Amino acid sequence: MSRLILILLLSASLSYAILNLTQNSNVGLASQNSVDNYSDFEARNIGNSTINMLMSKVADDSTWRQTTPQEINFNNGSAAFTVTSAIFNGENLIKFFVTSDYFGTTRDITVYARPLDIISFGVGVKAAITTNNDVLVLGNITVDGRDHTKGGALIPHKGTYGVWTTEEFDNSGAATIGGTSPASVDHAPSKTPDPSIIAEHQSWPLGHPPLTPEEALQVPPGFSFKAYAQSGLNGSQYVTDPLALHYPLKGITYIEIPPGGFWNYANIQGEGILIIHNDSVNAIIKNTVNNFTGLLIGDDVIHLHSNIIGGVISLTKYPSEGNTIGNSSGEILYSKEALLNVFEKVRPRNFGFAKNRLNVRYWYE
Amino acid sequence: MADWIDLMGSFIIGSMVMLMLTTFNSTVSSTASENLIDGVTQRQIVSSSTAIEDDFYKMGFRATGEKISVADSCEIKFCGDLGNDGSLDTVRYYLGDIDELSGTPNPNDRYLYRTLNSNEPQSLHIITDFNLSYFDSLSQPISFSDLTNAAGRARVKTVRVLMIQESQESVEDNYALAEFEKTIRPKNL
Repeated sequence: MSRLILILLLSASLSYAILNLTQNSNVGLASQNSVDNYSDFEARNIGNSTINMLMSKVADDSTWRQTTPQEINFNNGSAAFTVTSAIFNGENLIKFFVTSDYFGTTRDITVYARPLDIISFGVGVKAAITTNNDVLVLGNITVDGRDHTKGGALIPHKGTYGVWTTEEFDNSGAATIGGTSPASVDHAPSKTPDPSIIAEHQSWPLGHPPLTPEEALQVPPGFSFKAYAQSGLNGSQYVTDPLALHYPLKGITYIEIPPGGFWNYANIQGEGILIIHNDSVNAIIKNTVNNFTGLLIGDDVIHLHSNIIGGVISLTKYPSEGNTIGNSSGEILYSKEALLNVFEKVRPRNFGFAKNRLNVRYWYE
Repeated sequence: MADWIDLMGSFIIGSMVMLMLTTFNSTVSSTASENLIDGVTQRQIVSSSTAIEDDFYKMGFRATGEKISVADSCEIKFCGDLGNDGSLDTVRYYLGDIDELSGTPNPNDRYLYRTLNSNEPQSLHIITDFNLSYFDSLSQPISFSDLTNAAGRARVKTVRVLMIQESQESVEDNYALAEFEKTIRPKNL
């Protein structure tokens, strides 16, 4: 009997050992299965994240390319990538190719994208100074609607009016006005400007004077200068107190001054689009200092004392201090190049879930 | 007399030990079988899910026209250049009929079919449930009635896949179960 029990014990131990080994093997396979699946998941994540980083880099600088493979370490794995220009499906695109590696599990991801289309503005800037109110210039200010480079050098016969207004223009003091007539004749700044470079009693294409910067430039529906400035894109800033501004100004600078408030001795040093506006259309910018390149849009623009290369738009119909745009020695030079340079940098704010800063055309993973 | 008592005692104790060993063996064997079947089921569903993910992430790649032509709760048909070779492929996933596997011990299992272009349908795996739901760009579910027309299907940005796989054989009347659920957002939709 005892011998039989011994035999049974032995056989039970043997079968238990075999079963245990099989169990261990199954657990090992299940673990391997999980690890493989996780590695594949991680490799894909590394690849996609690398692509997104590369796209962000190209969004900042659309000319940036990486034609020879470069490797980076990423999240315990690595990614080798190239960024090249390519023609795909008949389109000129930027090709992002990433091979990601996570502990031996690899993934190839290819993405074709192109920069976002620029915002198209429905109307251009009509003159060196565009207003919805009577315009009076005093002092030694120079307003020149002839075309200039963004550096201020003259470009003949390509300019526009010196002043465009829905009301009337009046010149006093030693102020000089120049511009290019509709017949492309340049008129140098003069105290008695040629009538062909002054456009009075004009009408906006909208049928009514614009009450917002968006209406003034007829931007596409949904686009908001304020939201763009709040995003901080390309150095843009949104402030309600001008003292909070950082210099030099870049991108879109949106200053929402409370009704009744004003920005005096306004330091406008920088470039881009500078907007001084509130819902009551009575935000005041007054006595500018330092120079600016680009477009200045203000509700109530008073006394431009510094140089602006690009253009100026004043929105209010009821200027707080009469209608004096300038009464000192500033220069307002119209510049198509400066304006285009600014406008071409304004692209849609494509932020948020599942959005990219580039226009992704194809994504192969 | 003492010998008889020893013999009887040994017999009773020996029988109890034998009974314990048999029960132990049976339990270990049953657990081992369960683990084995669990492992196989899990590996199968991982394999199925990998195939589905590979296809679904390529949904709409290089397609210019209608990207999803059928979108139902247990069927989807879409196009995309799966091989990145310049030619557009059409893939269809659908659940087979339950009668096709009436001969298996599991009464609920059925084939999950995958059809590539005009090829014959191939059974990807044997599963018990395959359920698809569709969401728009705001992650709102799209009703199946909306998905009967092309405009409704064009709103699809995300597909949620639920797949349940049970073992074909049971262990003590229990089928091993593995479930896969994933929300896939194909980037070309």
